[in-house]
Amino acid sequence: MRWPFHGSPIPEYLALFSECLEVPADEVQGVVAEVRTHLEEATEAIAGPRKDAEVQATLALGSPRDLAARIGIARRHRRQVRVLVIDPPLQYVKYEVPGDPIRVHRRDLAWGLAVPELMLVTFWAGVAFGNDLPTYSIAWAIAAVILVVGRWILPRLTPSETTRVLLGSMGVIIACAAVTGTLYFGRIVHGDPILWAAPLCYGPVLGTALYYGLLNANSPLVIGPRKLIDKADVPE
Amino acid sequence: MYGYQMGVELSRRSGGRLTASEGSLYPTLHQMEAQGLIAGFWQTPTGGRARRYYRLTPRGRTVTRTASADLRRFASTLLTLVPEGSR
Repeated sequence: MRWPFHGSPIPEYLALFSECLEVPADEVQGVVAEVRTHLEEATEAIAGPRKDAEVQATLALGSPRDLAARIGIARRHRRQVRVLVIDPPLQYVKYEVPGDPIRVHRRDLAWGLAVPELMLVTFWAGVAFGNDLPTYSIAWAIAAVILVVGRWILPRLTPSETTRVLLGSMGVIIACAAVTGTLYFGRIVHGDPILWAAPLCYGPVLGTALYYGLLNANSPLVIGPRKLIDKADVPE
Repeated sequence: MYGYQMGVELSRRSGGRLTASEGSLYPTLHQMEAQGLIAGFWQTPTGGRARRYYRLTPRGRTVTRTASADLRRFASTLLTLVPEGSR
């Protein structure tokens, strides 16, 4: 789906909307059904061919990425509810988290990106400005990155896009840290080496952790539908 | 009332002067629900499609009353600033 949004057929709209929607899994279906009902009623109210009416109805509702992000922010909550479910055919008790309590929101991952970035920015700010750096300027810059990335960019992406963006960002940070380290050893730039060495080490660790965490269904970082978390008390 | 109906009603009751931005309607409704001001529930009217209706919770009713009183006070204060003949 292209940007800016110019409307789309309802199935295409709902597919992207549900993929971007970051609410507990048992709420996804309800929210999508509500939006579907809205789009169908709006489509019926618009005169003309059905295809054009669908495009107009979706256009009035706005981009599915944007709508999903805004509803996700509105419903942001973490539920730690466990219920006991008896599964008759298998005859064992399993613990299930109904509705996938979202433990790590995509927007929270912006903090992980900010740490190595903060160090590299601090190093290069020191190289560029020395002691003339305005007070709290780096803190403001990082806060802006967290706000923009965490609030505006990541929540509008699908889980697979989020993974790609996070891993890509880690790659860029590692590359920048490596270049900085090379320049430091070549005595071209001077500064505290920990500010580039730490991101160089932290980047791969975080990248690997994110890669594992975002793809492994049992990870606490997992994003997306996650039904069964534990099989316990299976009778002998 | 359900979401789509709210937008239509707002436009109808205001004689078309006010229109709800559809993109803001659902985030607002979900935010109000998360705050406990409204409660959503599914209902299927006979011969109709299933829709998610919203009703005010007791807390929402209290907040609405307070907000309405504030709005009336604000509007009457503004009106006192408008010269008598031009009202």
